[in-house]
Order: sequence, then structure tokens, then C-alpha cells
Amino acid sequence: MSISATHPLAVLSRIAAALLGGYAFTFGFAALAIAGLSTAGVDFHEAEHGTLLLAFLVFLLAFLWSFAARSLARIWLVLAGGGATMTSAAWLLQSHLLS
Amino acid sequence: MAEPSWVWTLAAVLSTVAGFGWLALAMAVHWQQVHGSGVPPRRALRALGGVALLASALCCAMADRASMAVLVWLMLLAGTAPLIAFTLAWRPQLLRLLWPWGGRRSSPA
Amino acid sequence: MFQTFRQSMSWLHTWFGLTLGYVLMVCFFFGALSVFDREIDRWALPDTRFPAQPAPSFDSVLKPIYAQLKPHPVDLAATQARVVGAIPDPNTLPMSSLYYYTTHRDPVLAIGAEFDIPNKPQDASDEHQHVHGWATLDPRTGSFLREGQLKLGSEFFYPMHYSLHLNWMNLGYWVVGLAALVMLAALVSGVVIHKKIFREFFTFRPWKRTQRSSLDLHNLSGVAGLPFHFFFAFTGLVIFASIYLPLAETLLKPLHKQHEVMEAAHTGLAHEPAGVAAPLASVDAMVAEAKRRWAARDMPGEVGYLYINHLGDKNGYVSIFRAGNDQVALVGQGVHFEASSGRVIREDPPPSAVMRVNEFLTGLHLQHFRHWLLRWLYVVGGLLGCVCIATGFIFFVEKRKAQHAKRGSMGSRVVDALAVAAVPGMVIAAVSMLVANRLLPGDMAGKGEWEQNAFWVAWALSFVHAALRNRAVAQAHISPAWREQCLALAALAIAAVGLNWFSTGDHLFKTVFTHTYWPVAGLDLALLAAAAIAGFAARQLAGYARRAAPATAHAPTLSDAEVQHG
Repeated sequence: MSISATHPLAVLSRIAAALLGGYAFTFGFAALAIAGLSTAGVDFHEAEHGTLLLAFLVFLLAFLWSFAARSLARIWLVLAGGGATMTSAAWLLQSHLLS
Repeated sequence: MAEPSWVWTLAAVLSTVAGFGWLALAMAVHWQQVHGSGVPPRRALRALGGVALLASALCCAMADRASMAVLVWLMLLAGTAPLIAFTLAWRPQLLRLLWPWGGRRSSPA
Repeated sequence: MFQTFRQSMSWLHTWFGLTLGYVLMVCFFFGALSVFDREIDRWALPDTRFPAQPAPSFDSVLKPIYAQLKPHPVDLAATQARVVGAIPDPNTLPMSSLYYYTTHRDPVLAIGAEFDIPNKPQDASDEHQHVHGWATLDPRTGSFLREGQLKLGSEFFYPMHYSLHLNWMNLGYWVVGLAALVMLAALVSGVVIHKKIFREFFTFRPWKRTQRSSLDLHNLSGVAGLPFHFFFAFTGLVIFASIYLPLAETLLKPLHKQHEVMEAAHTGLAHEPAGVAAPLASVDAMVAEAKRRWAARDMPGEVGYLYINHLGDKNGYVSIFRAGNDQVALVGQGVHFEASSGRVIREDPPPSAVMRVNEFLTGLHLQHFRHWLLRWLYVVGGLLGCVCIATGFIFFVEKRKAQHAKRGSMGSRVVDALAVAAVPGMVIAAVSMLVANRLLPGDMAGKGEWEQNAFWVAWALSFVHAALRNRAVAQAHISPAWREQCLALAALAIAAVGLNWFSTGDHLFKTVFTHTYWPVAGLDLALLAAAAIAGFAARQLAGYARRAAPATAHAPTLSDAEVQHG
């Protein structure tokens, strides 16, 4: 088949990016969305339930994208980097909201 | 809990079966499985099929409250499509009941 | 890594489908059984074969029963491991909250309670300072059901489909969650790689080669069941969202706590006890008032869930929820009362749009509504899921076995053995459990444990048998294990129906006609249907084997293989 330059390590890294990176991204997305909506005055549980509905679709898209995208580095950067950034932002937002 | 709701449900089941049956007959491959030869009156069968599926949705809506009706209708579609496929595979002549006129007809597609 | 989007989706579909397909088989099959979990319970516990009952009077029947309820030894041991110092005598622990839950399909009533403990937690952030007690009772007499009996449907098959009974660190939940995500990805990628979704919507050609007909069936079941498969995988994730994304318990815990305090102030339902003793007013009167309010809102109904918090305290309250027999949401329309006076504190307003969507999505999966056609259609949907995955395995093997045979690779043999264990083997395991249930004496100590052993041993035997018997696959033939296990399944299923008859006297003529009792009749009929399908499949497979035999003179066909393995 036309799987070019598929070193087993590259395949493993891609699978790890799809699962772990995708999870980190989803976690960050959900945290930021809940914190953001709470800041905007939405009831916490409503923000939580609404966000968690979307979160699994976000995970699905991230997962599919990890296999469709070309650059492995970019996948890791967007998913893990984005996840970490959004998680930190959610934390800051929460501290701000509770202070 | 109104008792005659089962009548509507039954009507929904029957019109889903008929609807998918007509939609299948509108395809040349399946038409030939059922009638042996000829070309299906595609437009008429498709229209019939579409109307029957719409009717089944309405029957579901009459039988249950809207949120339940959506589920019943979608699950009826899911359950009926394989039923038609298996009928086509093993007992295709049964689908003649839905459209007995065929074989020699060759209406324009 | 791939030239085109379609290739990437095809790779993902094949390999993730293959690795997690086995888990998905379990989810779909035991999920389909869970639609009738209460009915399977009735079959397995003949003492409970009586019609569904509404919850009995709290004041006269249930109140004294709750007084006898004690912390459950299992939870006592689990809690002991989390706290500092020994938990005091469980008979002295005060009950702080209680509940019961029932549906229109439950003859027996599930009750439970939380007991306060004085111990400090080992982990300071652990706020769960309770021990749980639970029991099942016969609401007609108020007596507890015998301990150690396993409700095969609701306590074994049902948890199997979402936790695999792998409870260590919630491992099973995570594996199933991953499988659900992969199911969603497999559906999307399947739609991408399938070229003729509409043109082949009704296509099934059993007369073609196995590789082609299995792909037909894979596409047919996948496309027809697509909305069902998508929504069940998705809502399964949503139901356990707080396990998979535990934000409110981790990162956002401070925000969550603040909200809980604010919400308690808003609803008037106290978050903490007051520390002042108070009596409990008539709960029956509160139930009557809740029912009156539901009827006034033009939605009369029965109690589905009743919960009393802060028992014996001035801040105590009673929450009564309406059973969702006629709606998708499980329960709703809660009315809350002050426990000491019976005064209405609050009537829940209609849920917001987000909450309604959430209730709809979780409710459509958990399905506690009264709609028998829809229940059976769910079973059909679950079985379509199994067909989709199983035909995926068969297609994988059929596509590669000739190649593998040439190269001497073991790949397709391994996949085939696993597929046999996942298809007939899994059903054999479930039916073996039913057979064990009827063979073992009802008053046997630890009966439930033995039933579970029967399940796992039968499943393991199926795999061993499949692995030993599938040498034919290495010669690019169908493994005889498929046919043999289909026959075993047919025999076991008929045995289960027969054993039910001999051990309880409930034969089909009685449960269908003279003393109609559909929960038991339904399972007996389903077992007979399973036997018929398995027998038909075995005949078809024998036909294939005979036709394949003359073509290749000395490949180990059925008879050869039988000689070799005795």
C-alpha cells in the first residue's frame, strides 16, 4: 500500500498523539469552556453538561484529524500544546472568578 | 397511555416496510431481483417510498409524544432496511405484493 | 503517513476496528441483553416471578425495613481501606440518607442508604465519608431477597456492557470509553471509505464469495444501524462523562463547590445538616401531594425515585421524582418537602434546554420508558452492531487468509480464533451462565460466584477450542470451530429452556397461554430463537465445508481435522 515512510515509531507516535493528545486537548477544551461559561454567568451544571456533550465530539474530531493530518509535529503541538494552554487558562479564569 | 396508540404504531411499522420496499424497487438491480426483467417506474416508486416513510413518521408522532416518536421512527428505519435486504436476498418475490405490475413494463426512467 | 484522506480513514477503520472490535462486540451484545435486564432477573430468580409492583407505603411498610438495613460488608471493607482507624460497629452507625428506585418493570424494590462514619479520610481531599447499604425486597411482604443471589440481568450482563467487570481503577470503564470513541471514529471513517452508501443500501448477496457477502452484511448493518450505533456510542460516553472528564472533581473543584453552596441557598435544599434533631413527618402524605401536583400539571404518574437526605435532622428533606414511563428522561418533575413538617420546599421548574437535551440523550440510552416495540428495536440495533463488527472480522480474515496461508503467517488464525470466541463464544458464555443458574441449587451459598465462574470458564473454553481447531484457516478454509460452537450453542440454549421447565415448572405453554408471564416466556423464546439461528448457521457452514472439500484434495477439512484432534 502507499503508506510512505511509516517507521513503527512514527505510527506509534501518531496513535499516542490521537489518544493522549486528543484527550489532553478535550480536557483543556472542556475545562476552559466550563470556566468561561461560568464567568459569563451560566449555571455551573448547565455549563458542565452542555460542554461535556460537545467535548466528545471535539475528541472525535481531534482523533480523526490526527490520522488525516500530515505533520506529526504539528499534531502534537496543536493537541498537547493546545490542551495545556486551555487547561492553564481555565485554571487562571477560575482563580480570577473565585478571588 | 391512550389505548389505540398501538394502531398508529402498527401503521407506522407497515408503512416503513412498504416505504423501504418501494425505494428498493425503484433501483434497477432490485427490481430485476423481484420481477426478473424490465425497468422500474423509478419516479413513481421513489415518490411512493418517500410518502410512505413520511407517513410512518406521522404515525409515530400520533402514537407517542414527540421525543419518543423520533426514537421509534429512527429505530424502525434501522430495523426495516435489513429486513428488506434479507427479503431481496432470500424471498424477492414477496416484494411483488408492493408492486405487482412488472416484468414486461419498460417505462422511461 | 498516508497519501490521501481516504487511505488514512481506511487504515484507522481497519486497525482500530480490529483491536477494539472485541470490546465493542461485548458492549453491543450485553447492551442488547440489558434492554431486558429486569426480565432476565426474573428468569434467574424464580422467587421473584410476579407482576411489577408500585412502591409500597413508606410509613407502614418501608420505614421499618430501612431500620433493619445495615451497611453492606462489601462497601464496609472498601471504605475501611480509605479511612484512618477502624470503622465502629456497623450496627451503631447512624443512617444519614436513604432512597428507593423503581420502574414499571420491577416487581422487586431496590433500596439503599448511606451511613455516617466518624473516621477521618486518609486522603484529605476525599469527602466521601459514608458507608453504603443496599438490599432488594419483595414489596408484597416487605421481606429481603436472599443475599448471595446474583441478578444475572441487572447485576452481571448490564454492568458487563459498560465496565467489563474490570473494576480495578475503573479500568473497564476506560476501555469501554475508548471503544466507544473508536466506534464513533469507525462510523465516520466507514462512511468516508464506503463508496456506494445509497446505491448499496439494500444490497446483500449471500450467494457471492464469503469475502463479498460479509462485506455486504458489514455495510448493510453499519449503514442501517448508523444512527443507532452513533447515538449509543455517543450517549454511552455522555452517561459516564464525569468518569472520563472528571473536571468538577479535579481542576474545577473549587468552582463546583462554590456552586453547590449557592445552589443549596437558592433551592432551599440544605447542603449540610443543621445538627438539630427533628422527626420525620408522614412520607405517604408527601407522596400523595407530589402525585396530586403531577396530576394537576396534566401528567399523572407513579413515584420513580424517592430520596431523603439528612435523616432525623432539622435540615432534612424528602425529594420525590416521577417515574418516566411515558417520556425519554428517566425521572423528573421533582417535588421537595421539608422532612420534619411535610411542607413543600420547592417544585422543580421545567428543565432548561441544555438539561433537556442531556436528559433526552442519557434517557434514550438507559431507556426506562414503557414502549415494548422500541425496546425490541433496541435489541435489533444492538444485534446489528454485533453483526457489523463480526462481519468486519470475517472480512478481515477472508481478505488476508489466502495471503497469510501462502506466507505461513499466523495473523488470520489468531484473528479467527478471537472472532470465534467473540461471536458464538460470547453467546455460549452467557447461555452457560443461565444453564448454571438453573442447575445449581437456589439456596446454595455463594451461588452468584459460581454462576460467574461458569460464564468465564465457558468463554475461555470457547477460545481454547477455537485456537486448537482452526488449522484450516492457515490453509485458507473456514475453521470448523465456527460450526462446532454453533452446535454447542444450540444445544445449550435448548438445555436452558428445558432446565427452566424442570426446575420451576414454568414451561412455555404455561408462561404464554395459561399463566401469561412475558418476562420468562420472552427469554425462553429468545433462547429457542438463538438455538434455531445457531443450528441454521451450523448447517450452512457444513454446506460450505462440503463444497470446499473436493476443490482442494488434501487440505484438512472437517473430517480430517476431527481425526487429528479426536
